[in-house]
Amino acid sequence: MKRDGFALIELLLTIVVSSLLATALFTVIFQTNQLRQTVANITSIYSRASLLQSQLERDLMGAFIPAQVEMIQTATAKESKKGTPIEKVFEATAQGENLEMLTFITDNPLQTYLPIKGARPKPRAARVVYRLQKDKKRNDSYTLMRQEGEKLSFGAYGKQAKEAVQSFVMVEGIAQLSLTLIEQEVKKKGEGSSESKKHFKKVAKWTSSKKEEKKEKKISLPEYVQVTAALWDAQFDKKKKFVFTIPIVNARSWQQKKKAVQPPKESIPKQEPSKKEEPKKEMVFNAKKGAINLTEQLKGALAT
Amino acid sequence: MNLSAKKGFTLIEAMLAVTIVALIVAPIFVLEDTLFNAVSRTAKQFHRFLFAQNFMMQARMEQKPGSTNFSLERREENPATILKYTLDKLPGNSSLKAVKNLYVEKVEAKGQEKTSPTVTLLSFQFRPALGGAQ
Repeated sequence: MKRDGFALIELLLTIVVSSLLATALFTVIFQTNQLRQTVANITSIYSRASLLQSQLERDLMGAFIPAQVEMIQTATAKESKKGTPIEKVFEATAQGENLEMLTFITDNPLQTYLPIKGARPKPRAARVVYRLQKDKKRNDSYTLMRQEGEKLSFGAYGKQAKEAVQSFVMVEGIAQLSLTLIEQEVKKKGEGSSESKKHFKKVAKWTSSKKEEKKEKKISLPEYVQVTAALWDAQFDKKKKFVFTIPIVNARSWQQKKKAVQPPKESIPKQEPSKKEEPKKEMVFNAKKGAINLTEQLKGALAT
Repeated sequence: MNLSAKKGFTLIEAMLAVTIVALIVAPIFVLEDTLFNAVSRTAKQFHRFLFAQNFMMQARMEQKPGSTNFSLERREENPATILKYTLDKLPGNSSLKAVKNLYVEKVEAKGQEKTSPTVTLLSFQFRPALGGAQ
């Protein structure tokens, strides 16, 4: 018998087998795509969370009150008029539930030492400004911007500043970012009782405006900063919440210093012409200019 | 039997081909499942590490000043984690035992699944006796 073409049963069998194979292959492709998305989401969320934590930790752990502000706080009213105090030594403002702006002076900035001969390295004190901005494309997403510069005055970081310090995108796709600033208060248990109880006061804002600083002479640092962040995944589908608690190491030492006996008014260091032999080792405080000459100090350190 | 007259495949050949294809595809499914589990497990472990870091700070806040023995336990959700904090003396066989007033603080973050490994975070605390006494 001579056969031409395929029998119906053969065709049917071929269709069944190939459809089975196609289904299996499509499932594999679909699952691979899903896996790729899951991996992308996880990587995206955790890398941003890690960056947020490490950068904030690095900056906040080194937050301090510069010597110039300390001097003005302990000086007489007459003395304090001579210098221009650095305003916003530590300030955190909120807009609704979210952070609006966080600024402070830190001794642990991002170092960028250029390998070029004669290039000026950055001093180890810088102002850091974080701002949370609304995403241009999405209403429910924010971007954290970061500014860092050696100018300690806050004016150089404003949007209207002539030569404003460059602002960089740090973390994108933030659903929510809020700060809780924790300050320690030691309360006595009762009247006449010598026992004291540690109590933590939590606030969402930390303001130290120029007026307040001058009037109340109240400049302090929170002891801990609790960062609560909810981050969107790569598809803006789900969000994941993270909480980081970052200690400010210098806050406690500052509090201890405040409790210590205040020096008599006469003992406030006056600006003296530095000796020619070793001018580089000292921290020069210039009351007129109102700035600590950290560059001089750095140059000295580099020379030695 | 005239072999040249035979056309197409026999049933056994077709079955063999399907079996081979199934054998090739099956490990891909298994591999994908394993990969998916591994990725989600790593993500959970990383999140537990962040929980542990945060919990260590919170436990430090809740301690009395100068305390040398403290323990705290807490539960966290998403991913479900049990956190245990302990501040205690250094173990007897520790090489750091010679250092006075040194204490070890440990945070263990454990998932509820039996297979999930425990994330352990260790840190040392120098706690000189209050009042300056050694």
